[in-house]
Amino acid sequence: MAHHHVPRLEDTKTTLDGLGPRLFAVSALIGVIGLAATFGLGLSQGDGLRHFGFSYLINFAFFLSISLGAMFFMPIMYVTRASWNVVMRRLAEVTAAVMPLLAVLAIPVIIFAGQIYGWADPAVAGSHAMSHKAAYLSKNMFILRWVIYFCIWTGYSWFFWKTSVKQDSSGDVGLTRRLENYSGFALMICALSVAAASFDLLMSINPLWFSTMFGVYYWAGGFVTFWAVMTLFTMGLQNTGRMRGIVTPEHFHDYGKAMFAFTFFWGYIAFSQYMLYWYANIPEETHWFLIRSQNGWGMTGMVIIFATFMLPFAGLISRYAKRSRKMLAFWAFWIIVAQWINLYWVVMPQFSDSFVFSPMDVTAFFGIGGLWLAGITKLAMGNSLVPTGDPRLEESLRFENA
Amino acid sequence: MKSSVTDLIDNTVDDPTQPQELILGGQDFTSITETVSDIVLERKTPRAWYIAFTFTAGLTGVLFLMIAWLFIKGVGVWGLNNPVGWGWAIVNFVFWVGIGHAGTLISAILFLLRQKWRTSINRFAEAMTIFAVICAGIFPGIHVGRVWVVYWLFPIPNYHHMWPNFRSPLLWDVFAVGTYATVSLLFWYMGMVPDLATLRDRAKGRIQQVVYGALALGWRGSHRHWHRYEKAYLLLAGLATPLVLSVHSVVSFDFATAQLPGWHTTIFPPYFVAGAVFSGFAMVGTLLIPARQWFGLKHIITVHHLENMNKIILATGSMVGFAYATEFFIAWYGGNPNESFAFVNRAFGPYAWAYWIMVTCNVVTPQLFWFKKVRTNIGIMWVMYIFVNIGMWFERFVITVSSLSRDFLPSSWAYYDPTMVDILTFLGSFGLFFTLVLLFIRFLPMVAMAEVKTVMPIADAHSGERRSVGDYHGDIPRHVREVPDGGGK
Repeated sequence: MAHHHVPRLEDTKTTLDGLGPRLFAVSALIGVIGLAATFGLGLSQGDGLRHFGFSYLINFAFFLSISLGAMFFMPIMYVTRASWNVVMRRLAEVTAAVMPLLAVLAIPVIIFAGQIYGWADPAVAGSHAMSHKAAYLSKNMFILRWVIYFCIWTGYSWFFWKTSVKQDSSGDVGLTRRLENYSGFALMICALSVAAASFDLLMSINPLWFSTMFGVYYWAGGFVTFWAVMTLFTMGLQNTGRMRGIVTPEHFHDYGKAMFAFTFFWGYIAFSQYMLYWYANIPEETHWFLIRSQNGWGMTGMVIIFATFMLPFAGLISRYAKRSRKMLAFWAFWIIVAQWINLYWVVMPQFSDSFVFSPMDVTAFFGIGGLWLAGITKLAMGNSLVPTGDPRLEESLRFENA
Repeated sequence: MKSSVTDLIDNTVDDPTQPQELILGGQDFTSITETVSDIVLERKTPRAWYIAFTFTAGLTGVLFLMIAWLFIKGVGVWGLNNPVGWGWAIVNFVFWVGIGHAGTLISAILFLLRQKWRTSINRFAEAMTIFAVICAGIFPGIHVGRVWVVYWLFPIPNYHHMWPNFRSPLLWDVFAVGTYATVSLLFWYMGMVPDLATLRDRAKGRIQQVVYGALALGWRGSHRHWHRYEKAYLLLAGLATPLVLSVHSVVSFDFATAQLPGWHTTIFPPYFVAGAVFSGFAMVGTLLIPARQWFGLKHIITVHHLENMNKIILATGSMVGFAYATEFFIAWYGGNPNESFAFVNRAFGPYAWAYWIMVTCNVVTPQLFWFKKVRTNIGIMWVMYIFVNIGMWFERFVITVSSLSRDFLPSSWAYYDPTMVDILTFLGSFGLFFTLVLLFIRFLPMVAMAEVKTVMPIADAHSGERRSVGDYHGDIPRHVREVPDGGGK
């Protein structure tokens, strides 16, 4: 029983040390090859890199959503004074702190905006329906907003990460208080910026469509994926002999609960958004769902209902599944794939009215994902993988899921 | 001169290295039992209770008089007009359903999140939920026009072979609110069984013994009983959790499925849920502050508990503000002139006064809860709760009436004025609500004794070095020992 044995940090490895440079090199290499392959495949399409732009956007939005999920996670844990998560919080901190790299990775989205976004098409931009917001959805304003988003996100995530790292050596309780004090404000910034960014990044591909729920929809998908990624990160590190015994089935049980809860939450949001537009049946609103419900996209949507909501909901409901390492890993992997399909369905129908799938979509996944993982590894290399100076670490280590 | 231990000890100090004690004043199991059950069994009913009860019962009488008048004359006695076919009845319905949400959030979601501080307030909040749902249920029931066939709302076989319209969100409400009321009642009652047994065992009067005995369902506190109790509690918490989301989401569908500008927007479901939790916590606070004062519960429902509630109010109030902002932005972004008109009309049209009351009470004043001084000041927070209650009623009023009164056809625009019957019916519903609350306070345990005991240091057999050790009955938390003059009860 955990009662009698409190795990100790000294019993396991809590740095990346030798693994760091290797993981960095391999994932960076995969990233570079992936992007090069995507670019090559994009050129071979002969469509002025339009398909490339869309494939790139899906995967950029996907990995961005995970880091945004991590960014949301940190303040929510401080603001609620939660302790169970401390032992794994550093992993989330570096996942969020990779923001500057994501800012660089956003540049192609801006370069290819002309191929991706409807508002960049002069014929659309000049139309009556667009006239009132033509200034808002213009390339310059778009760039300006992305600069602002990334300034906010970088400052925010580095503040949390750096402060936490500083605490490793000093163990200063004041730093925890400081983060607690800023967390409420951080959450508000997070909500506003993520919603606005999701409108820009994904909703404005079709500049005539709008949904007040869209920000929540993008955020909810990102947050559930974040938990799945944390599960795989932690298990992966444990498989290499790191963080063993300190992240216990008690903690994994909570990872599972988070995945279960936000799978449900995502389903609730997705259902509400769809149902309300379907029910009122106003053409200005339903056109977005119309192209997504025919010519193969409808079938994709069906897959999403089951893959992102119903099956993981059923699969993660039992305590057994959440505490079984293999089953939890399976569902974490599943959720990552399913949420990726969901973003594919959000983005790709704007490229083609009928279902398309290209190897580019997968190579772009490895391209952006590889660089993203390399960036995270780089950030994780210098410091402990566990926030050793956190005053709640002890409580986190002895955490039990009653 | 500070009068009680809770004035001397500040358990709102935020120290990451040492969690604050939730129950103050050197309490043990016996003293908790006595404090709570004596209110029901031993203490003489205060005269103020009788005065309050007379007043609220009178107001309830007004409610029933107004309903009788409505039944005699028809809905023409209300201020409804064309195009405003939905007036205070739906506004009051949504207001009261929303109030209920705090109870379910506290009892179900905070339970699943292992929030120990919930134990001091969950019983009260759950009771309030049920009373609020009762008040809510009245309004659609009396609004149907032909009240004598109100049972047609339910899909029961009848001689006309009439079936309800399953495509109507109003019917979904019947099921959503019905399920909610049932589960909330079960949860509340089941959670109360051990405490009812305590009352049974301590009761001296024969009638009390029989009544509490029957309600306690033969509870003897055996391990087997506790085992099943906790299992059932967890399962009900799990079942009630989606209900927190579903009920007010379905209520929001009443508006959002329509094509009316200002109603039809996709963020409505979570936005309504946040608003409901917001208003519910404010109402719990409105009632708890006097209750803890008058019945000597300040060491059980401490400032720490109230501060936590205020943080939730700040969070949900900000979510509501976020939804207002998003709605406004998309009304502009979407480019539908009717939609943008609806929002400009809300803020600057004939109902601007109501809109700005709503924004002030729901978005602006709750921001004061950023300051710890405000969060921990009993007087200020009580005033803020009243503001939130007002603001959330106005939110539903603004949504319902401003969109209806100026619809697509300017020639049919009309201003809506409530009649005296509208006003008295609404005030009467407060009478019913407070009457039920007063009865609850008088006859049932206001605090979940059994649950509170589980979060006290002495319940922790493995209390570590940070907890002060003591024997089973005489444990005195360190805070109290360190108070210079002993703290004194």
